[in-house]
Amino acid sequence: MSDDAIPTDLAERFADGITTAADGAWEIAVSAEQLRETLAFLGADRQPAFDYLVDIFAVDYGEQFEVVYHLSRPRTHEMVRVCSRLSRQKPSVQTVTDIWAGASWPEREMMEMYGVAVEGHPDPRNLLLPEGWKGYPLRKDYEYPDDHPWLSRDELHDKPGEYLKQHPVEE
Amino acid sequence: MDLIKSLKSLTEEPLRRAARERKDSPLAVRFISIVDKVVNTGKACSVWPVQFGLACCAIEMIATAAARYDLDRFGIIMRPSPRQSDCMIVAGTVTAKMAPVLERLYHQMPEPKWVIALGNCAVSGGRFYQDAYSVVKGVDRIIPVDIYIPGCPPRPESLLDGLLKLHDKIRGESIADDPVREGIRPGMSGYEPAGE
Repeated sequence: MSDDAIPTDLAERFADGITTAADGAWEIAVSAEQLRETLAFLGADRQPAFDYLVDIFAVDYGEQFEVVYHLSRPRTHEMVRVCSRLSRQKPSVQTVTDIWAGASWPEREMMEMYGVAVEGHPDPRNLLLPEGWKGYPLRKDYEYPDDHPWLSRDELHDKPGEYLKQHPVEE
Repeated sequence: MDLIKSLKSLTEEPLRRAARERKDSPLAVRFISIVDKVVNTGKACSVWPVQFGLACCAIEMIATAAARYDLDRFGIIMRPSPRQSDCMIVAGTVTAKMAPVLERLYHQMPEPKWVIALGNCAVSGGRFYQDAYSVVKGVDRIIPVDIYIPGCPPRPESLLDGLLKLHDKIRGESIADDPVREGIRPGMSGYEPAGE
């Protein structure tokens, strides 16, 4: 967590775009076009660089997605969050695996759970879901797979009282 | 004498009832029931499960196998491979990604085989029944289950009770029955892996 004030180079570059959040981390809100450039600056060009990528995830705000990158510099306890809003129709970002190799798995999870396309990812397989899964589960409009032979719920478990009245068990 | 009589009645009565229904000759019944007693005692006293510990119920299964509750005294030795085992104890939550693996391991077990569903997740999906999109709602949607042990997790005593019920079930079988369960064949659960 960052206890000090915002350092001068970040304050100069981002001016109003950088704020300090309640937990002490610095938040930078950028547009989708500037996202890759900002991350490259923070992770590689800035001295000292934010060399630890903590997490990448997406948030579904209904009409937009927001992609959040948590970066940190463990030696000096600095932490920064880079947020960027994307359109819901064709959300896409560029990969940052060339800056931080550990971005590979969070980006795969974001691709399979939200459908945010990550351009240039070296290994775009599903991370947690089985192959060929249809739909993006963490979106707010995801439909439960009620027609799947294994994953669907049935009357016996949903309303056991009524089911047992209609199908009484013979002793 | 009373003890021997009660032991006899445990094993003979269901077999004789089944043989009477099949209208076998009395000599055949006598012979089959003696052979069944010996064979079933052998099967029941050495159930070797392939431990399919997936989640928290695996801890309870391990605790049951450990010193305090001890499964070895029942002849139950956990085997690492399905090819060497009689029984599959599905202990834990089965997800959509794990389900084809589970079916494949079930088919790799040689007959005779039994399946125990340990814990609420294996019985019906458990706490994940309502809202989890990736949890299989009960392992009996994929493979046939013989014993259901509810609990989240069930205590070791419950698992022992379930295993002893499996012993009763094994002793109630007969060599005159059809050895292969009807209608179980690879692919019956409807899963078609991509690319095959």
